Amino acid sequence: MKMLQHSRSSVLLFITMLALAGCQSINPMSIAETPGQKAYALERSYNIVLAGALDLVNDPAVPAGVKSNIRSVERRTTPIVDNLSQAFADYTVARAALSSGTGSQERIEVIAANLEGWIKQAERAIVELANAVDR
Amino acid sequence: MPTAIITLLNVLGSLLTARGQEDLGEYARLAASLVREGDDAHDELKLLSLELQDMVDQNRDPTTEEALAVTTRRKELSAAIQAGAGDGDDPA
Repeated sequence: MKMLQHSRSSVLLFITMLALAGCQSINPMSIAETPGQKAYALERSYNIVLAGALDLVNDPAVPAGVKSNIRSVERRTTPIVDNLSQAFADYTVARAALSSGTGSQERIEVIAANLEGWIKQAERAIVELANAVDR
Repeated sequence: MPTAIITLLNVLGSLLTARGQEDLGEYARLAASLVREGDDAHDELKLLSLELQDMVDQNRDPTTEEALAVTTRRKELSAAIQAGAGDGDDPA
């Protein structure tokens, strides 16, 4: 069972690596071009890792300490991805405003920089959660 | 796992370590030693990559509905993970 658990958690690490920097054919982050596409790729990748974490939390054979650590890390990392979602929503609104002539280029540059900052933080959050799953 | 993928992950690990991302490099090497293709998560990642390529080809960003669906799914998963907290778990 421990072997199975280790194999499954390592799959999540593998997925994380692929999502962030791995194989070209299945690497969402290398395919995404715009900040919006990158944010979407990260959020979806994070959900894949979350689903794996849920499998472990629901597995009666997984030690309580491992489950506790996963929950603890998830409480830290999910709010970061929530912030990424909000930053993307702000970016979408700002782009629409610019297109309709009510926004400014300066404003969207500030919001895009904020979005890029949350993208970087979300990348670290995914790795942190995958690392917790590997314990 | 095919030898080519093991090699790729080990090379990736070396590259990441060289770029100063030691933790990521270590993960790549660990994954290379154990992971298998054909896993559900692997298939989901493939699907996501195809969707993203489609977005790039169409030169568009995710729609509000697509973004909302991902957020909703995240909240469901997060709530489910925390649902069993309390059995010897540290409070938030």
